[in-house]
This record gives sequence, C-alpha cells and structure tokens, in this order.
Amino acid sequence: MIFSLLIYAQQNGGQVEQSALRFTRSALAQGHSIHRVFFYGESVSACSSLKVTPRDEINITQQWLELAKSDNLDLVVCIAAAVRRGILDDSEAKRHSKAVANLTEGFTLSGLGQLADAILLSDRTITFGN
Amino acid sequence: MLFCYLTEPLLLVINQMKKNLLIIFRHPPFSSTNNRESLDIALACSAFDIPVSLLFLNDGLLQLRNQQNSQLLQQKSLVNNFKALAMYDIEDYYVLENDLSHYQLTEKDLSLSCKVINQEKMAHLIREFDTVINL
Repeated sequence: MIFSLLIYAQQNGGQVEQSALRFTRSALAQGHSIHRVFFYGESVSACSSLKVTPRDEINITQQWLELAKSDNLDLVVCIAAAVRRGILDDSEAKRHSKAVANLTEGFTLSGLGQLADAILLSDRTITFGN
Repeated sequence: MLFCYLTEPLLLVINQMKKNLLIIFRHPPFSSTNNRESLDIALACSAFDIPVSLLFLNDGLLQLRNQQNSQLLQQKSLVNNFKALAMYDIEDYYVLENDLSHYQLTEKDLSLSCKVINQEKMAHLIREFDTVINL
C-alpha cells in the first residue's frame, strides 16, 4: 500500500513526530511504500537547522534524515507555513531579504499542491496531529 | 499548469482523480491557525480537482457565526474566505444539529448555507470520503 503522511504537530518535541516516525518505519518494514511526508503547521520547526536538541533527548530531525537517506523518502515542508514561522531556504531568504537560510538539507520547501498530489497518488493519507 | 507537480503516468492520475476529501473544522475562530491552514488545504486540493466537503464540528461551528468583529481583536477574519469557497466549487458544508442547539444558534446565524445533519448521519458522511483531514 502507498502511504503519505501529513504531520501537524502543535508542540515541538511532543509525541506526534515520534508516532509518525514509528509509523513510517513500521510501514516500510512491512513492505509498504511512503510516497511523501508533508510537514505542516507548527511541525515545520522540525526542519530548522538552528535547532539544538539537548543531548539526552532524541533528535527527530536527524532521524527523519537518516530514514530519508536509507529509504529515499520525500520530505516536503509547506512553504507558507515555514516562511511564516521563520524556516527559510536559500531562495526564500533572498526573496525576503533575510540574512540567513535555516532549512536543514534534505528537506524541500514546496506548496500545498504537494499535499494534494500526495492525496491523489497514495492509497491512504494519514494525519499525525493533535 | 497546476499539474506540473504530477510526475506519474497520466493514466494513473486520471484513475486517482475520483478521490474525494472531507475536511473537519473543530476549532473556534481566532484561537489557532488550524482553521486557516485547513482552509488552505481545501483551496489547494480543489485546484487539483479533488472534490472537497467541509464539516464544522463542535467549536468549529463558531467559525461560521456571522457578525464576527475581528477588528476588535486586530485579527483577520476568515468569514470572507469561507464565503468565497463557492467560487472554487467547494459548496458542501455540514454542521450538526446538536452543535447548533448547544450554542443556541440557527442556520440564520451562520455565514454559509449548511446542511444540518445528526450524529448518525455524520458517521455515514465520514465513511463516504476517501480522505479525511482533521487538524
């Protein structure tokens, strides 16, 4: 089965992102495929390269990146939600005259069309939210 | 133009086009970004020819209350955005009769013309949809 995930965590470091990660790992382990992981709302902060995770806590961003590398995941961050919350890639930083870009390499900023596309091309779109 | 994102073979795309989407609004206006972000999903999906219906549940009903004065709060009201949905072919809105009576509202107090359903019908409604988004 083809799955896509919509991640809409309210709280950074909460259980939502962990559950999404576990779901992704389990689905892949059972031979399903993940068409796309779409970060929306507050969960875009998972993609900031300026975030520092305390040493005794799990670095969710790192775990997504490792999973993306090993299983070729498409990690897409909603551009409107990201820019509004201070997550910028190089071209958005330039466009809005900001000094730095802070999108972690491995994530892509794109529009909600990517979510619509995921809904159309996946058997199930699962929301991980509150 | 909008379909430039789609990379899969066209046949597959046409096959999947039959999918429909229900978006559930549960939050009161001005409380969070959930309703605005749900609305944005509705517009984006509609642009991809996905039939979209909206269900206003519990406090979400208050989002439809007419005569909201958002200027007092120095916030943007979404009422006009919701009213413009018909232009995007999003015309099916559902509210629960329980929620209306809970808030002592009638259909006349709402800014959209909604179908009033009971909880049993709601359960059937949700099952009719291929995808449900509930932020």
